Amino acid sequence: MNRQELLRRVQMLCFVVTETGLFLNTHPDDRAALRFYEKYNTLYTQAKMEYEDTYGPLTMNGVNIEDGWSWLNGPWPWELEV
Amino acid sequence: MWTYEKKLQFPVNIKNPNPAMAKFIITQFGGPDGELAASQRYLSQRYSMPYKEAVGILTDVGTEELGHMEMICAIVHQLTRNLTIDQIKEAGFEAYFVDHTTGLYPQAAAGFPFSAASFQSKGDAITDLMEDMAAEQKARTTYDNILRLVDDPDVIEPIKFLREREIVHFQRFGEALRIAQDNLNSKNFYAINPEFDIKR
Repeated sequence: MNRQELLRRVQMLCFVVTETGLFLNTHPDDRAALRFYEKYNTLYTQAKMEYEDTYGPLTMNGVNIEDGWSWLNGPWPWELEV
Repeated sequence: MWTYEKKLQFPVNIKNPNPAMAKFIITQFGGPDGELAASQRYLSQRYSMPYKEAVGILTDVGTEELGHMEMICAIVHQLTRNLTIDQIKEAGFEAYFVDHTTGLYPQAAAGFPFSAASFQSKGDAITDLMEDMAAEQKARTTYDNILRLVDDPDVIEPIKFLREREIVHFQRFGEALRIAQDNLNSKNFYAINPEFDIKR
């Protein structure tokens, strides 16, 4: 996947995890929702790792120092992508 | 975007409630030199900042300030736990109590509510970084004043930590300003505004 596609996948899975987490805050005993959360949280973690391995850090903790201090590398999220 | 980490940056465990202290420490939540203003200042300024080092500092310091806001709220919350009406009256805490009970509301020590008028986002790299350095010093003075007024070691330790962070942030903003100036005309830093006059 190119950067754009992999980023969309990370964004989509992050949203699924956030949305399910909100639901679980008010339905903490819902077994089906818990299983759904676990499944998508795993996929989200994997997608983030895959993105960071190829395209650089999403959080400061994702910096691989073999690339130098890549935290500062663009694009920042609000910049138009060429 | 942001995610929340369920921990404080530095521990806050205050054994003895003291609403008289809470009345002025709350200024670092919602006052003019407080952590809410600091976070919104830096996180607003970063979008048009042209130098990646400065964007990184504004993003990461702005994020850290959100954590400092949480520490101040934890301090104020713990200082106002389990109060009796007599304690509220003795401490002169009635004015806050009648409006907010013991909930957290962003206001200054003098009682006025948080205002975005306490910070700027000017769209000029030198102007904004100068403001940021001044803001860190104003917050450092506020923490110095708080330290003159408190005697509980449970309060002093986290306040000393926050004071030290102001000094570190001031240093980093000074370096960001130097990097910005290194990118400008050394004969006249003000010849252009790099956030407006350089199109990208």
